[in-house]
Amino acid sequence: MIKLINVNKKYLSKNSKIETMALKNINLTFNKGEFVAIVGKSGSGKSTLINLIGGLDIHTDGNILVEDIDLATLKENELATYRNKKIGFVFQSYYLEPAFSILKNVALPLIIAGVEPKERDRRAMEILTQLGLSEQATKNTNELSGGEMQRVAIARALVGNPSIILADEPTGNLDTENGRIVMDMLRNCASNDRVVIVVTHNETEAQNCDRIIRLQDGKVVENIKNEI
Amino acid sequence: MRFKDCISFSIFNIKSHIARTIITIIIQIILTAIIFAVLWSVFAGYDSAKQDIVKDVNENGINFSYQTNAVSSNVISESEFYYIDDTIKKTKFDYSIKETKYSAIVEEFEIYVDIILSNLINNENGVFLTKGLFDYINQFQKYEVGDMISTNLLVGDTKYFTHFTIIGIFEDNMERGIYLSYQNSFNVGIPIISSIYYQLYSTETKFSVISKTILNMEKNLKKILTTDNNFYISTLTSIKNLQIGIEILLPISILITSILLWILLGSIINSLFLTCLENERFFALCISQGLQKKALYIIVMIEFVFTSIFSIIISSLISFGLKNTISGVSNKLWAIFYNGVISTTSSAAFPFLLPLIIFVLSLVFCAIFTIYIFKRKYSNSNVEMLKGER
Repeated sequence: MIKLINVNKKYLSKNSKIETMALKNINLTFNKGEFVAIVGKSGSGKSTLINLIGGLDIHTDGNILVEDIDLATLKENELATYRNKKIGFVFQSYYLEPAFSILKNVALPLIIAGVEPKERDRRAMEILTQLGLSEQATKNTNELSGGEMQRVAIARALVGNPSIILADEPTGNLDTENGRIVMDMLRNCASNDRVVIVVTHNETEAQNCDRIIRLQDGKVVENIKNEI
Repeated sequence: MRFKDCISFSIFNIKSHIARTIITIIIQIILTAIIFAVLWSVFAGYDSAKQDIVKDVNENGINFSYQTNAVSSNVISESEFYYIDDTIKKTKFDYSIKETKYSAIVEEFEIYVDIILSNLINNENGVFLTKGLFDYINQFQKYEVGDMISTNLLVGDTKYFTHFTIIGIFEDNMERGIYLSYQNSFNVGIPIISSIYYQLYSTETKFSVISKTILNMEKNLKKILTTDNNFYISTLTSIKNLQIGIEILLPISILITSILLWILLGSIINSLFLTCLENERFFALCISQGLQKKALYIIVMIEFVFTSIFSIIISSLISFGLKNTISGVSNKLWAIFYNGVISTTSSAAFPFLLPLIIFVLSLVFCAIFTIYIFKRKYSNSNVEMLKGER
């Protein structure tokens, strides 16, 4: 489903004199239905990797193939459409718009996709119901706990029915219990049509994933399947 | 993304940063109103000054009487005296020639002042004897008062090379003739439909004599104008000063307006920067969810079009409401430059073109700088935007 072939990512400093290799010669494959953890220390290239897969950033060398489409060949507006249709992002700090209701926050990808209001509200409500958040639909984000906000963020990631969920430290701001709930929820998101990739520091959480990819200094140092 | 949703996002942005929006609108209103006021005051003041001068001329000019005792006139038939230029002949209109001798000049040479009544529009008073003085069709005067022209004149069988000096352009009524240059007449709005060209010529072919005669004639004319009717000179001075006023005030007002426009522009840019900064979190979120940058441009553009339209409408209303005050101030300003009666209000139409121009300029600035700022701000990768707010 997702193939990274000899992917490099280079960052240039603002004065373009210092060059930093964030990712070095990455070769990875992600299959449908997988729940994959990417672990590593800060600065190891975890976030860079999911940003490249998510089309938020462009790799320097190599190929990233998502369902046989090379991301490097997509133009900016095509990448935006790719993010909207294929990707669901879950961020550490939830990234919810406080001035929107929960329902509107969840419906945001559908608003951007140009879905009619009735239809997008229906779909957003459906997801919220599935995740047990239907009662929160009309509330504002400041009325929710951290765990609930992250669940709303997951609902938003799922509402467009994307084939890839990318979660960057989704439990980073949560207590253990809420972290577990969120990880369970993400695991449930992985299905025959979908791959879920989670960036985490937490080794325990990683152990609950189907596969662990360990990065160090921009290189893959471990890529092992978990026997759960 | 649907256009309706772009609008709703823009409204959301405005609501989210209502304090900044209000400050932006207030700044734009104040600056635009000042710009209106400056331009309006110049516009209204100039108009008022013109009207005063014309009023002066109309009221006082009736009392003016040209020194007819120094002038004798008679009608001369074509066969008797004048050479008619071929150009004139080709126009095929009826003509008659009225010659008026000016005999006030005491010199050894007989000097004529020919009053050539020219009115090609209603063809009442005669013909255009010499070509090239005034192009009625194109409203273009080739020669100004004081210009010397040369032409051939046939007297009997003798062809004379003659020099003419244009002494003045008068209004249609000789008795209340106003000595105005064409430009001044035009500027103060006196329509020159039927003008009389005073032309001085000498039958003498010696250039030095002719020059001397011309100088003499001018001197005498000046004397007549100066001594017999002060209003003449007064009017001339008013108009002259008005001209000076125009020359001084207009560039100053343009300068002030330009500076204010740049400040206005600065305020727009500043608030655009603020919008980009304040909304970065929201924009980054939208981009991560697949919002295209084109839609982002539209959202910000709508926001600024809204604030600009709002500002311009309010500014126009304020300026319109203050127009009498503004015009009163401007009249005082203009009074420095001319001696006419000062009107308290101006009847000039409110210059609706100005708000329109400023409005269009604002929109153009918005468009240019929105694009510029977006290019600057969002040329970074999406990740940088996200990083900034995570």
